[in-house]
Amino acid sequence: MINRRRFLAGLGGAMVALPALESVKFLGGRARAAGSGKPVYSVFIRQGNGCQQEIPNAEPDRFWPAQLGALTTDILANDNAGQAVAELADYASSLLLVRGTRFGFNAAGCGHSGGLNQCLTAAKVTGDGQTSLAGGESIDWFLGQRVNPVGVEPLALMSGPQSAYIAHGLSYSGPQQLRGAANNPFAVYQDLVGLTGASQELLEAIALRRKSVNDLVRGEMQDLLGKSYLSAADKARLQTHFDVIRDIEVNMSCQLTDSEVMALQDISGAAEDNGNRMAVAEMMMDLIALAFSCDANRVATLQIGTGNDQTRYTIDGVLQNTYHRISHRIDGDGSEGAPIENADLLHHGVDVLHAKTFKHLLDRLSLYTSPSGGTLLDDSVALWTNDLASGPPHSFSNIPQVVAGKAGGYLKTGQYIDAGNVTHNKFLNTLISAAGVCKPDGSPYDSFGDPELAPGFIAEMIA
Amino acid sequence: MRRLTWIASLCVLAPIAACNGEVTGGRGQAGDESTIADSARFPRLTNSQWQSTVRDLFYLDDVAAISTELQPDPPLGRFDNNIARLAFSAAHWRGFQRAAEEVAEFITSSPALVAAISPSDEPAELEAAGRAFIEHFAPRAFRRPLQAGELDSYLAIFLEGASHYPGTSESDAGKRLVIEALLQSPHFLYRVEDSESAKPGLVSLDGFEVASRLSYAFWNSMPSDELFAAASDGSLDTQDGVREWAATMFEDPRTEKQFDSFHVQAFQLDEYADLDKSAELFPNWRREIGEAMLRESEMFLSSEVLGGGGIKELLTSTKSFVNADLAALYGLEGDFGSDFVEVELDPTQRSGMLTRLGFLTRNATLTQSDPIHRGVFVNLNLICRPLSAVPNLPDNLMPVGDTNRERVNSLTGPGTCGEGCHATLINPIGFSLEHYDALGQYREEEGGQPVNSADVYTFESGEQLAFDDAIGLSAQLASSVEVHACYIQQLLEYLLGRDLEAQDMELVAQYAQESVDQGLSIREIILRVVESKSFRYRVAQGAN
Repeated sequence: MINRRRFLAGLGGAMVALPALESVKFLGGRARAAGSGKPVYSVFIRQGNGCQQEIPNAEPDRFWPAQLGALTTDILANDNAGQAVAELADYASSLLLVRGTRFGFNAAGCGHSGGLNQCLTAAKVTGDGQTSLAGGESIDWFLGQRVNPVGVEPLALMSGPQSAYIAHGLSYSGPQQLRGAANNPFAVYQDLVGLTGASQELLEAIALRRKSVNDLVRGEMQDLLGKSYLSAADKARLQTHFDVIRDIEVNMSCQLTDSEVMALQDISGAAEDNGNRMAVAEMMMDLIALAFSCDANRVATLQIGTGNDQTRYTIDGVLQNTYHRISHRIDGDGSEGAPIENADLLHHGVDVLHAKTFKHLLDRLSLYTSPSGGTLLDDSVALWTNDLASGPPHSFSNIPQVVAGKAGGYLKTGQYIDAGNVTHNKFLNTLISAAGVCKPDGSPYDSFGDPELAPGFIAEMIA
Repeated sequence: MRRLTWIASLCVLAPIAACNGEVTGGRGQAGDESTIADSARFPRLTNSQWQSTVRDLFYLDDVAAISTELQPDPPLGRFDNNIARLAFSAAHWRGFQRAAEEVAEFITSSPALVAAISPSDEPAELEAAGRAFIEHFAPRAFRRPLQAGELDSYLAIFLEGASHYPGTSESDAGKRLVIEALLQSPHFLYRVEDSESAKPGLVSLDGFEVASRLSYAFWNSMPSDELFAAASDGSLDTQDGVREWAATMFEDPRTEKQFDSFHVQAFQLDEYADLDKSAELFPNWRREIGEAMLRESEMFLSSEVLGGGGIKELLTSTKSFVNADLAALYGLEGDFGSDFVEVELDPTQRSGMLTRLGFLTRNATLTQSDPIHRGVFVNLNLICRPLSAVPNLPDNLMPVGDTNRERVNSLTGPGTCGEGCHATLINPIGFSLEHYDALGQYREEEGGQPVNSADVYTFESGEQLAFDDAIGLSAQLASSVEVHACYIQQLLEYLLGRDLEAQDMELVAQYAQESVDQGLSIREIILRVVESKSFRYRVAQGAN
């Protein structure tokens, strides 16, 4: 459905036929209060199928640093050369590596569905395998409701096909309320840039025109909402629609370069292709950083690969078996199949690819200067997480949690800590506080996720 | 839930004995449907419905000129039109707004396109022209006659158009703004079922609401002008009238696409288009061959639906459509090119959908057939028998054996921890297909030994199917009420756009039994669905 020439034609001047992102000025005070001080931006990146970390008596660890404690570029690059996180050595002072967290609830059959649905929700999972859903909202939605203005939903993005076994399941707006995830970066850009480039005069004219249409539509929706015998579900559906109609048009102050936009366009017809998995992921990261840099959104998720990521990654120049099979170490998606030679090393290779891609996000966030004078990364919390801990056991214990960004100074970065086998709601609580959402008395937030989980936070993460 | 998996026993409920007075004689026994399941009154157009509706509303060949991509919906429910998917968000609204503005600009930039949606005798005077345009065009956008006050509301928008688009004629400016508004209206974006009842009970949908249910079920798009006329003249107010109209809709080429989409989603056929195989073992494999397998499956399944075939034929037919690549894999002799031609496959090797290349190739590893995934697919998608999800697996499982069957059995067969699910439900069906390699090619030997494809499958009822191979298994599945119920269950979900409730399952059970006993065609089953109360009525809120 994309008409590339038509879109490009609009780039030279004002993009008129296009959407409103009424968010950009919310630094001016329209954002819902989320503590005091400068905004913090939160982005959650998900890799699937676990990481290649130690399996006793079977595989050595190739993910974490060898020693807990302070992290420096030298420690990561030299003392831990070859480990996956060594790819992030340049950002050692901004890193906070947290081992020792686990999901609070067992998988409902399939580890992938149990993990994917829990990793950002800390909620129980209902259903089984393909039918599974999370029983609560995810952290991005929770934060979006508190740090974004009304009507600006967290970006929900993915790199991978929309149709697959548990195609996606990262972002929830409530119990069983899975959100759609956009997987075409060009479409995401279209939606983000809105009326970028338009003059103030043109913006006002468009706003006037849209208001006329909006008023008519609102009237029609109010008539429908007033119908008798409306079911709760029908009413909720219409009410949501009614609530998201906005009149105010605000110009976003930034955009990608023409060559970057052309790259987005070039890939738009093949965004789901196996060979473009990481290229699309990096483009989505560019868009997340762009949105943050313009303060157009403060929260985003990016799921890389489907539920049991079936991507065939290229490692050492060779197109490998599917990542899911590598993670099982056999040429099969279940229990049977011929062993894959050096599968643990290949899994480590996938981890390294994801580490490099995460570094791309950090590079991108570092390109932008924050209002406070540092980089955008300094004011952000970027999480690279996984919905499983490891490959063959598909375990839920010791989830790889890699945080980057100081959250404006809230987080104690430059260290590798062991949280002590705690449920990961405490980890998410700490990230919530880092994003500026604390308890009314100013103490760290401690109650996200399922109420059955013991509340708390991880004090060692806090500066 | 993402995917409904009804317990198989629900599918074989005793046939409903009573039938009410509305049922007409010949096809009989439509069940009394004294209660029907609740349904949404405001199902949103899916993204694909939005596209096809815009195409047909403006008499376009396609909507390729429209660059806006609408917000994707979450993968909830089995089919893309499931009401569970059709929530609304700010991103949806921005997409629909952007798309409406783009369509309006595109249409009004072409005098021919404007003329196509305007009355032929449009008055010269602006207000009269606006009134005539709205009376002519808006009912098609809303898929019903205009209601009180709507003409005036849109006329006001029309007359405002010139102030917003000063560079164009007043009439075109007005039409542009009206189009923008109509395409953002809830009466366009939702399939509004506005008919009401002050009393609890069933509400008979009016002709226009039935017309929309029919057109979106068969065409994934708005009603045609002829269908609107039928709604207007009362032809859709009776059970026979709906059936009669629906029967004609099979002739429209959009119906084939709609059932292609049904089968693609029900059987995950689109996965065939992105398959890899071992370059060492299969040096001639190309991704395009998988795409051809997808097309073959679509053509085979839709040809049965449209050609009068029944569910039995889906599992027993040897009809196929092949190009040169597929002919070679099927072992067919003759001259084949890039076009698909209809052929008959060897009935000693092939029988219906389970023995088709795409299914067999998708459910295989890079190098070898995959009995477990073949067996799982049949249980879930052909029998609708729920299986427990894959448990977390022990480390370092090492299969033992010379043949694929032996290796699978060594890990999951009798005497292993997989005995419960695999040995009785999954593996027997998978083993029946061991004559077909990782590309679906027929083989007599595997692992240096003659293929052993015999086994026994046990239904939840305890009934057992013993078979020598996939031909024998397919023949028996073709007569199984569970299999017929499973297909019909999915068909009903697709036609109604929602998960099924207990009341729906009574219909499913009845149609399944009739399908087995009477050899109903799938066309006939579809007609029985659309003439049922579940399709033509809705529940008055508060009644249940």
